[in-house]
Amino acid sequence: MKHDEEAPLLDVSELSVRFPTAGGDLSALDDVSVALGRGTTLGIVGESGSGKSILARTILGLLPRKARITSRHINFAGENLATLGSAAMRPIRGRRIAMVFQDPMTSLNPVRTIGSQLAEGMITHLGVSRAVANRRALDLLKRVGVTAPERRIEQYPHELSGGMRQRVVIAMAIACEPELLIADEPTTALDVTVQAEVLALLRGLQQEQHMAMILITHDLGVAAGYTDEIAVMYAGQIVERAPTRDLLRTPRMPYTQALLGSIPRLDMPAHVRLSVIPGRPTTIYGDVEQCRFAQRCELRTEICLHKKPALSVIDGGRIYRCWNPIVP
Amino acid sequence: MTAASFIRNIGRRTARLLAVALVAAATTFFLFELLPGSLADAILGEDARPEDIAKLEAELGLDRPVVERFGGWLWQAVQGDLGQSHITGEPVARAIVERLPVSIELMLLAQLVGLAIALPLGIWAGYREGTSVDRAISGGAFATLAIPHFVLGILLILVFAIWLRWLPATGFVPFSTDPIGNLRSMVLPTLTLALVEAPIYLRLLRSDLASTLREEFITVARAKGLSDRQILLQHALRPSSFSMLTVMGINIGHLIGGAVIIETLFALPGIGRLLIEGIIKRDYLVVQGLVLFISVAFVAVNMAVDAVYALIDPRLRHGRTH
Amino acid sequence: MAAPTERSARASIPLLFQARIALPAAWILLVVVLGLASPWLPIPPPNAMDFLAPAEAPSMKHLFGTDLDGRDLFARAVHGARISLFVGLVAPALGLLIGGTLGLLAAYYGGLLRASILGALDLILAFPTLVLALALTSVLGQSMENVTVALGIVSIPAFARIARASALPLLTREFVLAARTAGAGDPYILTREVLPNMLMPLLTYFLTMISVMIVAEGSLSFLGVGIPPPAPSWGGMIAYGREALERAPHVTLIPATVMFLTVLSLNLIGDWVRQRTEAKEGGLS
Repeated sequence: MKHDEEAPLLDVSELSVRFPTAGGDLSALDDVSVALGRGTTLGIVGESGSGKSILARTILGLLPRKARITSRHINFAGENLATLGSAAMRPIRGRRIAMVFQDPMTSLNPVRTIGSQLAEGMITHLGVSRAVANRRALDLLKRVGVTAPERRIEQYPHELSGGMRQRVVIAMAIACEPELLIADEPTTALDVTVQAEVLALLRGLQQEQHMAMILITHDLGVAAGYTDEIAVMYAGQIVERAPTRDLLRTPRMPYTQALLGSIPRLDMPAHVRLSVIPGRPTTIYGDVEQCRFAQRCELRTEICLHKKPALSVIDGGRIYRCWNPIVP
Repeated sequence: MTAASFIRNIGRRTARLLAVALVAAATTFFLFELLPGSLADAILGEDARPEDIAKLEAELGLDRPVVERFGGWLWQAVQGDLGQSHITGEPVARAIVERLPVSIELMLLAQLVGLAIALPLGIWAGYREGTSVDRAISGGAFATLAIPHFVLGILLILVFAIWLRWLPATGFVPFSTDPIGNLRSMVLPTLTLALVEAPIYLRLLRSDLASTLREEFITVARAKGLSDRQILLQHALRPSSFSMLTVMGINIGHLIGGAVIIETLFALPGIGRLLIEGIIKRDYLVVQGLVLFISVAFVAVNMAVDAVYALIDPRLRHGRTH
Repeated sequence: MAAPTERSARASIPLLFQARIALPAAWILLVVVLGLASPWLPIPPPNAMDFLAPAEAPSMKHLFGTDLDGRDLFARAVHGARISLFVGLVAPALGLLIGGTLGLLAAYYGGLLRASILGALDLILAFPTLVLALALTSVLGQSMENVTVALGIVSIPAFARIARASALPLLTREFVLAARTAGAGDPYILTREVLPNMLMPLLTYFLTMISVMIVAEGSLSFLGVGIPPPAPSWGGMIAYGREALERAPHVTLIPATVMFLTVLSLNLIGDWVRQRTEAKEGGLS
């Protein structure tokens, strides 16, 4: 864990989330612990279904009513969010913790203008008047690089391109100058050329406002370039967590290494097949006494199938869950 | 929309309106040609004397060729003469002018009351989808829908006019004569019609709202820290009202023909009742003129509703649909 | 990852015992059986007036009591069921047959045929439905058959629209192209390949229409422009009892209740069927 002198801004400890279904209790998150300090970026990487979005939504309390959430604590600036009810969470959402969602097409209300959606958060949280909020909205649009902001304010979401829309969503998120920004796959739905711009924008804003950021992505390559620490998730568990550079250089968990191996690289010989992790992510019901990745792991042994790997901590605050870690 | 394309649009719609109106007129006219015997036969009935029939036929010019008669009838209609009652001699156009306000008053009041019932209940049921509140509201709507309109009216009369004696069972007092009396006489008819329409609006609103609440931008709004009330009213309501408003528009169109059943049940002097009376009394000239008026008005109102619809949904304004 | 949905726990209760479908089905069965058997049931003739026993409350002698002319209400209700059954089944059947065919033709063929079919449908749609039904019955004359025909005509556009909407996507599918390449003629393609796949939405709509038609006939008879008295149409019976609403409400309320229960039951069954077919289609697509 990256050590600031101060206590971490966000400290999630032993978070588990289950959904009751007809087929049993679906284990969406199991014993997840992450933390990050002010101004730092935590990357959460995993395939779809790994629980990364659930983690983000749990922090903000956005899960459906039937979710069963247990944790030691979810501390944000000293307050335990897990104990807060809906009414108490509202002043925090959008104001101190903000979220950018994946698909800009569906994140915006199609029948309201961009301006009104930008202004809304500021009016609610900061108590400013409509006029002031509109002025600030213009500033925000300029900061995120939206062209012709005066026109955009009056337009509707469908009149903007995907990249433009995502910038608006980002503007909405930083409108009240949050202390923590959670970006859930912010670039996945965008063109490749726009992706880099948006990521750079996020990085710039973060530095300007000294925001902490959680960057959720399935693309380890993206995480590699923009984070201070990376947590790798699989089937609802954190299977490895380390400072970014360490993770990339010396991954311990075979899953992490497999992810690294599947990133296409410029220095690979041409026409080499991309290595792919065989099989598909599973959904776990109840609790299983085995390593959740065992079925797809090349390095698995007997014990992997019969006993849940304990969390190993090595100095520097790295953790991983594996019976057969890769030793550098 | 630019001014030019706007005018083109209006022009196109008007042309279509005229075309459909013409066809409706033709259908109306030729429909009554299907009557067995001649029009005069039908009007006077079975036990009419042949001389009377012949006299009426001559009066109506039934010996002229069909197309010529149609042309003449149409020409008169365009000038505002929709024929006149064989029995009272009253011009149809004048009867329409007198009775239209009654039908319109009923229609407007019923839409308002229907919305007043459907909006809060529909929102509540959609917001609490799947809970017992939702089941109760939806169940109530479902049961109400199964009650035929005239039965609903009779039940209301039974309860409010006969058992409780709070309101008059039938009869109409014009607004100009006595505003309070007018409203009193309109309560039961309005309530009946509103209860006929409200369940439909309620169900549409409820299901659209429930599905809108599942959309991503609602989660985004929650993540922004907006209250449930803000989300429901400022984000969810507008996109969810389209189906309901569409049906409302269609209903308004239908009700131009007067709420026939309600008007008959409560003895309101509206257009619908005029139509029924004309049919029962075999006053076919009146029926012909009325049906023409109703169908043209119906088509016109439908087109107006279409135009308004485009105004409400900004996506339609720009020609895109997502 | 999205939160998974719960599967219904109701699947474990045997179908027949689910009150939601068993009760309405039982009522409809009762109505159908009594209605069909009405001429042979040991009840007084529906039109036999007995001026000595007007507006009697329900008793052992008269299960539902009598109306203002002393006619047995149970007998009239049961015979009225026959009328409602006839109109409720035949009118939408007409709409289904004619509308379905027109819709199919309009989907398959283009050009003048389609334009004229769509034009004719638009014509019917240019009139508010009740007004059109009224106009048609007044022209055709009042009788059970004519009311049925008039209502059937009014329902044609809806069936045509459904038929066309479900036929259009089917016509571009491979199996139609394959059949045509194999040399099959148009009628063969239409009836053997396209039609069976269109059937489900049409039949679902047909089910919905049954109760709508029963109410429509009731409305016309209530207004006095439907099936003429003394025929025991439920709507007519309801209208007839209005004058005695204060002293003998049962004359109106009993046929009203019968009609309500029938419509409610049909709607519940239709709803259940629709849920099942939608679920099935959802799984296939």
